Amino acid sequence: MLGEAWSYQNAENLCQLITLGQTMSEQNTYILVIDDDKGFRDLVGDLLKSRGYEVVLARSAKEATAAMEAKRPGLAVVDYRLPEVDGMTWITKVREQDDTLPIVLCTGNWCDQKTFNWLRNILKVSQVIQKPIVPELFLHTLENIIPPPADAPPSPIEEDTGSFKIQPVLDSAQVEESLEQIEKMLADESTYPEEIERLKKLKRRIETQNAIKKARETFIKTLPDAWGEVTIAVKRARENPRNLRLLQDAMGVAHKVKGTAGSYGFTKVGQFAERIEDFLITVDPHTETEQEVIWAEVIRCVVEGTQIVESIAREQGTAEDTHKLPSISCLAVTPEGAYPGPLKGAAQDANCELDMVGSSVGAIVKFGKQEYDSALIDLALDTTSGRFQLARELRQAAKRSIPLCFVNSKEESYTQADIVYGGASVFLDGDVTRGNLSEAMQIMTVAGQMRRPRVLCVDDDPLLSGFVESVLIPAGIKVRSLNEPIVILDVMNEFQPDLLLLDVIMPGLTGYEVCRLLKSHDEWKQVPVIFLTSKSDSEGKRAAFTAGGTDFLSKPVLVDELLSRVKAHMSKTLSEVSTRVDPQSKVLTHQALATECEQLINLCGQQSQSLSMGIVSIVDFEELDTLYGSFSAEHVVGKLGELLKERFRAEDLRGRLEDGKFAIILAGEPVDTVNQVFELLKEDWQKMWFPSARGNEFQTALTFSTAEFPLEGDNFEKLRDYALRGLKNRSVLS
Amino acid sequence: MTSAAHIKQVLLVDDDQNIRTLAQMGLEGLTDWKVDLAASGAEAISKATELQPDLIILDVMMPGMDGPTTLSELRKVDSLNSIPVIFMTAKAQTHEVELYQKMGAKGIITKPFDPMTLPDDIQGILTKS
Repeated sequence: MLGEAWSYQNAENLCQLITLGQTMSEQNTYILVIDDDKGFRDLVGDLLKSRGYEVVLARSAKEATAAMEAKRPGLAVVDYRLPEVDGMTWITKVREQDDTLPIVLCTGNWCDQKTFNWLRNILKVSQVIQKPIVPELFLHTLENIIPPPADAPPSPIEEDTGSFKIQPVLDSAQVEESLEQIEKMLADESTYPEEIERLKKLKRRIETQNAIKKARETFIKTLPDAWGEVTIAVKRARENPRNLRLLQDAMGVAHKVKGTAGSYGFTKVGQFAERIEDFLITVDPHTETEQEVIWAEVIRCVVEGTQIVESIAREQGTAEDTHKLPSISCLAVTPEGAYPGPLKGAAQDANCELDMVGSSVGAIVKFGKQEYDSALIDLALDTTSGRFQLARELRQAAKRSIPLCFVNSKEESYTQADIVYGGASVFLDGDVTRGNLSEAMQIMTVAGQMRRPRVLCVDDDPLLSGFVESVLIPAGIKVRSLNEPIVILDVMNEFQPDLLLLDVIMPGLTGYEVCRLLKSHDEWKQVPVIFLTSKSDSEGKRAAFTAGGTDFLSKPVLVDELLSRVKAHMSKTLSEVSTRVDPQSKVLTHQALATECEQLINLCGQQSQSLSMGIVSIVDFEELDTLYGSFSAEHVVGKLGELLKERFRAEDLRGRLEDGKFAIILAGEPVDTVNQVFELLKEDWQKMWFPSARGNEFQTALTFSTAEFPLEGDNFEKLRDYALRGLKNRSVLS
Repeated sequence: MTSAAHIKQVLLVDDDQNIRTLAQMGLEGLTDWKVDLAASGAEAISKATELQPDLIILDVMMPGMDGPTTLSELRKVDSLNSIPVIFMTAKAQTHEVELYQKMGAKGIITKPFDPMTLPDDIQGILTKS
């Protein structure tokens, strides 16, 4: 009955299990583990046994099949890579006969969407888990699939009141709250004496860790200087190869940073310092041989260390400075070697995080990968199809109307309407200097301050994501729902969320796995993750924190709790967000537009500036659905909203008045500009085709009208009504 | 001979202020020990004479009088002779550990250290020896 390859030992195990199985209750807590790696097998085996499961270990698909024939397990843990027959093939075979056996697949690689869908939908794999596994999370995931036997020994997790709880509490900036809670418990007379001892200890730990955290912040400020000392000392030693004292100095400084930075938790910096010290020890001032190789290594460590120290200092700086100085990141798209000096100087003056690229294609690629708050475009590089097309493409990539600065280095002639429509908050004509570049960056900083915070909600339950949206969107937060966690990285890149809400239990992948993946990527490490869990017991909490979560919310989620947790963890304050966005067009709603417009009118009034409103109306909007099929109108509205956001300056207002009517508001511009701008808008719009239900494509026409402050009205309503009247009198089709 | 339970007063010697701050925070925050600080070997000897601490934690690499020199100086003074000393060093190769133990140190704390586990590490060393 058993295959030839079936080892004696395993067979013996199996016999024992079969006997055990007869005395077991109906619940099948027998787990089959298939992996060719003995270390992994044993680890998983011990883990599962510790929770009372019966385990049988198999080294190959063949052994596994034999074990299956002997007794059907309640769950199989399968390695993706197995000798001879791989994990997926084995599962496929199993499924031919057994459609219900829960299977957990362990893999060393994050699989692609196609494979994942195959695994989950066709092979019905319950969960895919990343190797190396985190024991607690692994157990937790498995226990969700088949609960441990009722008489299982208590989880070792419970006993440990160690650092895991404290760290997340501190990270979530709730130190005060948790200390208060502890005080309350201490004051409570019904608390047991042993409990009091434990709480007092916990309190001390929290307080100590909090103090250390503050000391760390102070230390960060001195870190660049300390590393600078290392750099200088290494440089001196390098320049005077025969000076033993300078060499020892360099070793000494590196040695110190190694101990200090490491102790303050900057492990990487400490490691580079250690490597520098280790290499320096091997430097022999009396010989010439192979010295260059050693020095090259030392220099490399210095350079890499510098980068890390800089990024640490920068992070710290931005975290602290957000309240004082707004900082902005900017991508400068300029011909190779053009004015880099003034650009860098200006970036320094304007507290701007500058990145440079030498081609329009490079710029689009960079925008796809990273989020920039603004862009500076030398029009010499705007060579793609159509005028200011690069600006539009960058905004498409950024998915918002980032502030732009154009540099007219070829000194071509542009009208004010060109500049406004192209989206330049700043237009630099002629000479480019540190002074005017810095001013441009400052203007863009002001123009770009309207970024809305974003939350990504990862949950397989559309009802829950809908609920999350209904709570967060009215609070001014942009929400994206993701029901397919496997594509998380793509969505992260595209959406750039400020915070993640992550469901723990999802088919195929647990939230823990998703979180672990994110935490392994440098660019997403910092994004706070709040787990949504149906378990509020300590194991669930612990697992959430072990996986790298910042906080967790128990289901059912309460409105107030959701909002306050999200707000608490969001790095950017939400109080500044006053905009409300129309869901179809993604531009301001009528109400929001009115509020913002009134503010602009006040400002222009004070400065005796003009302000113009332009209304754009989609012709025959009400007929679109009838003519071209359901959702045609919605689609057109969406596209017009996109175009309005890709064009115009960041500070210009775009809003949807009703149905097919949109308004744009340009401060400081006369109606003449608006009229010319409309010509440009018409050009863009004429290139746009929409799919109809019949399969062919259609176009729509736009009509325009304008109103100017203060001539035609001194508030939003009057201007709007004036322009709307103008619209009725027009019958111009584009 | 010495157990952690008897410790009331600790003297921590390190030339790096950042390290002194961090270690003191961990020790005073998590234990009931009183931790005094010295920034050099010379200061360590005068403070030790004055305070008569129950434990001295001594950095190995210090400018001027280094850790091992300070230890041998301490051993020369009758009143300081029996105070247990633990070294702190970023370099802890096996032969060094042996060397320091021969000199009479109770053990070694390796840098970088975790301030949150420092008290436990020290207790571990004292229990072992």
